[in-house]
Amino acid sequence: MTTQAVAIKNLKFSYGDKPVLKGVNLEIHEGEIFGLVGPNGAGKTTLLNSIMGLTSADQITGSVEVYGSTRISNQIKNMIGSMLQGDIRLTRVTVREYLSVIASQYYDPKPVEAVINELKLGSFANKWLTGISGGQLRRVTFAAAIIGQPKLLFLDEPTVGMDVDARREFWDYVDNLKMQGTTIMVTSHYLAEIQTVADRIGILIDGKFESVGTWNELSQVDSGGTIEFTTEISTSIFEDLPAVTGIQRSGMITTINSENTDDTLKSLVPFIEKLSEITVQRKSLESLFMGLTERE
Amino acid sequence: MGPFIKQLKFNFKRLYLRNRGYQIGTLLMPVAFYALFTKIMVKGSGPEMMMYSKTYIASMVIYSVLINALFGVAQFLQEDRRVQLVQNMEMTPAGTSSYYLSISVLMAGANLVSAILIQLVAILENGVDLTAVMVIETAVLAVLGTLPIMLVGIAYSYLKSPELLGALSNVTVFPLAMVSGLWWPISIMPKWLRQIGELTPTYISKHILDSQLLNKSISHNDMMGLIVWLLITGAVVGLAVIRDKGGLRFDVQQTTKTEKNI
Repeated sequence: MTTQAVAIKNLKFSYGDKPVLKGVNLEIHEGEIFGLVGPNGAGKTTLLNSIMGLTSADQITGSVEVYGSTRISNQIKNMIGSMLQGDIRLTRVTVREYLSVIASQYYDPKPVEAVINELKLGSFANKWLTGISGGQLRRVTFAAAIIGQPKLLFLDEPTVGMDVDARREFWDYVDNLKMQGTTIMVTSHYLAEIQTVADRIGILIDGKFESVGTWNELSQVDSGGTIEFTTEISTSIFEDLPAVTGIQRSGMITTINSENTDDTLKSLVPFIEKLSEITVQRKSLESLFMGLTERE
Repeated sequence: MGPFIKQLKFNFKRLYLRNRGYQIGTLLMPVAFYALFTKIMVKGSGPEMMMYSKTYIASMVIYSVLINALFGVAQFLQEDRRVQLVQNMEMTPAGTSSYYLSISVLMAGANLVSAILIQLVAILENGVDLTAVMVIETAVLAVLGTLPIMLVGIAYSYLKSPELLGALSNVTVFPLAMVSGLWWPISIMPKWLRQIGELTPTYISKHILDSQLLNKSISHNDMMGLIVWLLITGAVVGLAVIRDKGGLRFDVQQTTKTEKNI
């Protein structure tokens, strides 16, 4: 039986008269990476803040349980790490000093030097926080989030400002954390990254989940894509194939837009000897996401 | 003790040791003002000058505390909230108690150092007769007797805008310093202004320190005035905290509540 790290029931939240979360239900299983995506203003950060207990009790209804408890005790705080959107640009403080004071706030933190080495912060560990780049500061913020050895980790737009190599290393590290049993909830506008790392994805639109599931489950909802091949056959033959929504021809190359690439592919079998260089491009999380947001 | 000592070292380095602007504004400027106003700006007979040198200690100590409260502590706390340091502390098991305790200790320490420094200058430069015990007693009184002023600084720190805080601090420090007789004797002001000045927390704190330095007992009026200001500024800080917590706070999570009409 899967243990729930986080269980949310009918969560509603408002800023004054403006509803932001409109009845969110969600369970995050222990040990999984849950990706939270949604357009700007969907309520992603508000949802994260509500789970972490950073919102006023007067503004929310519904229930939020973290490891079975509705109260964020010190013991539970010790199990949580968070990387919020903003970075802490304290003046006259070095990276090492900042991590050291954060570590002292936890019962059993990782040694500061170990974290500095693992995350490759050594080259700027003695620099002021105000004297390093945005991407480097983001890595320091991540270091502060994991230094307490959390069981539950919240990452809000973690890779903003990081270069490609840094982002790759970051996700490798996150994957490693997951293998050690850490439960991770991550929001990101880099949908391709979420699609790759997340065990399950929740698409939050206008304060409610439009879809929640694994990428395989979500892609069943919209299993469209394109099928491209080289052929001399006239395109009119393909117009009546199942799930075809459009056909383009450029020289010998035919591209079929399909709502269900599996069904369309099956129907191309009789023509297979006259087709070559067949490539199939299924919808990505990005296209699924855009389709859902356009519908709204 | 671990988190507290770490916080103390951390905050001491970044807020005081490495902060030249703070050192100059809170420590060196009042000392320089003391030297200037007692040595150069004022002339009088020997006993008059000695009396003036003694009472001006209190003026500059209170002035130093005022600057520390409104340009030091208020800005430190506001900035730490603005960059989410306080929020990050709240999310850890050790919480913010060590953080706030360390700031309070450093705040008191700075006022203590300032009081001792000004008295040392008074002894060395003006030959003011103060024993070591008196110096320490005056310094301790400078910390306790200026709690309302420090609470004003804490209340100001809850302002969201750094520009508004800067403007309000300027508008508070300089008129308050003038009207309560920190820069020049209150006796030279018109009667109506004197009456206002005598009600200010800075005047009351200065009067308490004057009593200590002149070996007089602290009057009941001054004690009452201090208590009243302590209650007023304490209430203002309380309201500021409640208002701030009403927005974002780390709170007990609610189980099923009666749904509100949205």
